[in-house]
Amino acid sequence: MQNRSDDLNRQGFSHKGIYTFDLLFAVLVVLVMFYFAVSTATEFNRELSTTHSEYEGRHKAFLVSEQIVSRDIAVSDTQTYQNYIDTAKLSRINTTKYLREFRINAMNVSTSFSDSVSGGTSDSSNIYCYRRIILVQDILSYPGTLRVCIQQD
Amino acid sequence: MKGYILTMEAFLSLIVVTLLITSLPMLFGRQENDFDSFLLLADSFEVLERGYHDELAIWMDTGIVVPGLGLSRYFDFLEQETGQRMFLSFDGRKFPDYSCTAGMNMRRLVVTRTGAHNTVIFSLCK
Repeated sequence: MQNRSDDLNRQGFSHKGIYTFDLLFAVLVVLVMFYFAVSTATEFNRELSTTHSEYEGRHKAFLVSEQIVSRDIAVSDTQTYQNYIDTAKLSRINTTKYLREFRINAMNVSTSFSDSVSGGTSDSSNIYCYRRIILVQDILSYPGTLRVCIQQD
Repeated sequence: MKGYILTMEAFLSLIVVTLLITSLPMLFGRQENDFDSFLLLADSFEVLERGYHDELAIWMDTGIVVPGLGLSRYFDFLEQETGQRMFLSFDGRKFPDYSCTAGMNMRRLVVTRTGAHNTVIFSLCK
């Protein structure tokens, strides 16, 4: 072994050269892993921000639908009846209040039994909706659906 | 050899971390669906109790539901509007008698005609 090393030294080679491929391989592995780590982190960050935005949108849509179903258009006498809808109150939904309070661009409330109520301007992106099952107060009460959609930035 | 073992450990750790990161959105997605199902069940039962309480109480007391009338039509309406089947379970009975197993379900207290408080299970079909 010593003789082979001496031979290499005599021929102008050094031991340092033998490790170049190992080093190159190690650097390549590190670079690949670094690239993978960065791309994974970027993807995760993007996913997280999208998820956060989607959650916020869905949360707002739920809150708006909940307020409409349980307060704005609910039948009331001495108490308010959640999910029991007075159709006469539909046109009185104050969309401006929701647009301002929830910082949303547009909203739409449509039902299976009446015209829809809209507010704001929508660009058909980031729209979140909730469909609620309701009981409609009429001469005879009957079930229906109410769909609340919001559009946010 | 020592370095090789460490590299394998790092590689395995990387795989575990990657799997964890990629599975997070799936976990979030599942929660959303769970919430949507919960809201659908809660709304549906709220309407059921408010609009069809008498029929519900009669069914719980006697097991009788007049076909084609209120309660039956309400479950047909739910299936048509939501695309999902829901059913009630009480005292070993099911209504409507769908041949499906329960997915998400909720227990609700109902006051029957005798004044008793009974727990009925309201479920989504899988």
